[in-house]
Amino acid sequence: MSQNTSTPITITRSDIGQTFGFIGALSVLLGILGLLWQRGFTLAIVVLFFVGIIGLVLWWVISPREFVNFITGRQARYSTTAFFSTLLLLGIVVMGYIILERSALSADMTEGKRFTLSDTTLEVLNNIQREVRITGFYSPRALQQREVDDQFFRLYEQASNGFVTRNYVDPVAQPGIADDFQANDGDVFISFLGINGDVDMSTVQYVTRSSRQERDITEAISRLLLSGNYVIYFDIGLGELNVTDTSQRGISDINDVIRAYGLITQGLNLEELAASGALIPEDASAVVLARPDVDPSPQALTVLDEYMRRGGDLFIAADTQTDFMRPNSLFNDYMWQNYGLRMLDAIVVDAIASDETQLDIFSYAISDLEITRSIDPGTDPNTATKFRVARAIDVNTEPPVSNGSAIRSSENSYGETDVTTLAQSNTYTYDDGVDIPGPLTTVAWARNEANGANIVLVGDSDFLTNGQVGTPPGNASLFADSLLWMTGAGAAVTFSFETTVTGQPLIFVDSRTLDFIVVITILVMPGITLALGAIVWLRRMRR
Amino acid sequence: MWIIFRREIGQYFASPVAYLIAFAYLLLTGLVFNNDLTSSLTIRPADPAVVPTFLSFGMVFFAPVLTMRMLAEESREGTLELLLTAPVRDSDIVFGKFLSAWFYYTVLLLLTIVYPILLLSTTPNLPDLGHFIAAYIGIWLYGGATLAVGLMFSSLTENQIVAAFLSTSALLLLYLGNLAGDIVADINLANLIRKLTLGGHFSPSFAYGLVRAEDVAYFAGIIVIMLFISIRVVESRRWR
Repeated sequence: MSQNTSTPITITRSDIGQTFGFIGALSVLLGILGLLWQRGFTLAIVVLFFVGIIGLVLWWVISPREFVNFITGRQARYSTTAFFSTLLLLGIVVMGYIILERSALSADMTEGKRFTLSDTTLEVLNNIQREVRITGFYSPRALQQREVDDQFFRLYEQASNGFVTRNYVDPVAQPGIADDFQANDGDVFISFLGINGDVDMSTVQYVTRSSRQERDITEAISRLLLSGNYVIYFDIGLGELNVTDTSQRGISDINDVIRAYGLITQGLNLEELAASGALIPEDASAVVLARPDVDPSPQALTVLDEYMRRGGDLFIAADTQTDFMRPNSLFNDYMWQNYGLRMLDAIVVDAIASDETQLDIFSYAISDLEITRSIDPGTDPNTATKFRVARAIDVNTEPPVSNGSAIRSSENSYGETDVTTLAQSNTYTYDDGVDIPGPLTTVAWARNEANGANIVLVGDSDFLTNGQVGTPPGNASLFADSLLWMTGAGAAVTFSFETTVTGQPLIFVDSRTLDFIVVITILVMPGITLALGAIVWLRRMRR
Repeated sequence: MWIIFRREIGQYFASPVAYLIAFAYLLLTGLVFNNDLTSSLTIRPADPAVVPTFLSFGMVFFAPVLTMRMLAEESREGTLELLLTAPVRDSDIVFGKFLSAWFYYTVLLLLTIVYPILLLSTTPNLPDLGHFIAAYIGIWLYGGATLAVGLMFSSLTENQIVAAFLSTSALLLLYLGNLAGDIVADINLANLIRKLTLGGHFSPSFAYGLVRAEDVAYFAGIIVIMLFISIRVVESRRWR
């Protein structure tokens, strides 16, 4: 039998006094922290201070000698000094941290200078004449993303001499503001500020997000700066493709793309203007003829010619199976005589740069021009253009104005002149002396340096339709870049960044090398340390 | 201070436990490096910050193991009192011990530089070197801060296990505080908590190849404050 012996628990006056003292000190400490946090007295803070004082007074009443010793003793003096000196050091460290945080000093050590603004961005920022606001929507869950993004945003703030400012909104805590922007968590918007300092909601531009943060933000700022300054007129009087048609044959998507660039799009009827004796509006930055069925009438051509003499810009997408720009037609002759460009009655067949059939041709020879700046199939096949049944363009080598080819087919291509047979039976063969040997131009340009008029002529129109404008995306780029070049808006959105994370090389290591690396890093290196440890242990054991 | 430093370094390299720690450290970082290498082959560039990013979590456990015995053991065995009577300042004792732990950690960190060197010798496709250096500077400072926290807890108790437990808990809090946004609804409070955490000063900057003065100040500040408190705690033995 074991006998339980219990030690009586003795609670002394000193213990009770110390407990009250502890509660009092803790309450005072919490009260001070609450006061700093709330920046004022609340009921809870008053209660904490009250409890604190009561606790300390009770300690003094219950064990006065210990209380006095604690306050005046040697240990207390040293402790107090240590406490306040620690507090002082903490204050100095915090102060230094805040100063450095506000100064935003940093060193971008990445090879691609990922956290340094490029010259292009600095140029865009120099063009800002009005206050721009970056509004980011981040909930507490997206704080890390906010901090990564903030590193870019503050670079813009610093480089713009105060023209760019940043503001963060929690979409969970402020759903009303998020609704105004139609924003989700992590979305970022760029806008001008109104006179009262609020966001001008009519100017809000969404920032698309990718791994290339700088390009995304700068493009959005460029769109903001362009916004409303350029008006593109789509003609609808010659049976063209419709910008409001959202079907596969419509061109509503391309309309959305250029609107996303900040350009305004409007409808126009050349025939109606001619009939009423009116002219193409003064604000027209460019006119688009997207697959007209017929040539403009002589009167409509007069209206168009007057516009071009004013330095107008014209984008033409011609196609097969229409009566537009047929050989020796009025408009085809006009284009040849004035701009050195005309459509041929020949369909391009390419044996090399083609897809399902030799009539589905990819861009092959690409001239180094602004309108083809996004087309680089050698680097990324998605940037190529793809025309399904395209007409060849004749480019005058002794033109009345500057002109040239932008995109051509390969050397193994030719222009099938038997268009009727091709349309009826989808058969084509090269007939020497009849068909036109390649390479052939499918996209051409012309510029009248005297009045600034520009023309882009494309031998296909299907590439603009909703069904094909994004397959491949190079189709949309060709149209957008053509408009930006013709209108001059391209100067504000021409990007040549060195900063891309994808610029880093991929790793190609064969399996033998990989095995070698595994052996060295997982077996040899840890193994050596383990062996050394064993030797040390054995030596100790022998002693 | 250098006498203490040399004595501590000698103890590290004469202790089988230190080699066992190095073994675990190299095995884990090696696994992480190889895992990233195989998963990135032909798909993406190698992540230059993969080992430092792993260590930002790993140091929550490595730092207490490296520092738990430093002052706690001296205190338990009574050798700290002997040291206090020796002609060295209290600050020398703390600095010497801290620098030795940081030196040992630096040696371990330098060993992992073998990984990119191995890559360099086998393929010309090196990861972004600048990014790599920034990530290593960051994790070196980060490691210094965690070791200072560990040393501070080692000074508070005579029991190594208690010291390790307390410093692991504190470091885990400082690490997990980075995720404050997931549990705190007030974004300002969540942001304040993030600014106090170790991860909040490593993952959005050093891990991306960016060296920010405020992050350097944060880690340096943690080291200074923790060492100051440790010195005061050691000094407090003279007040009794």
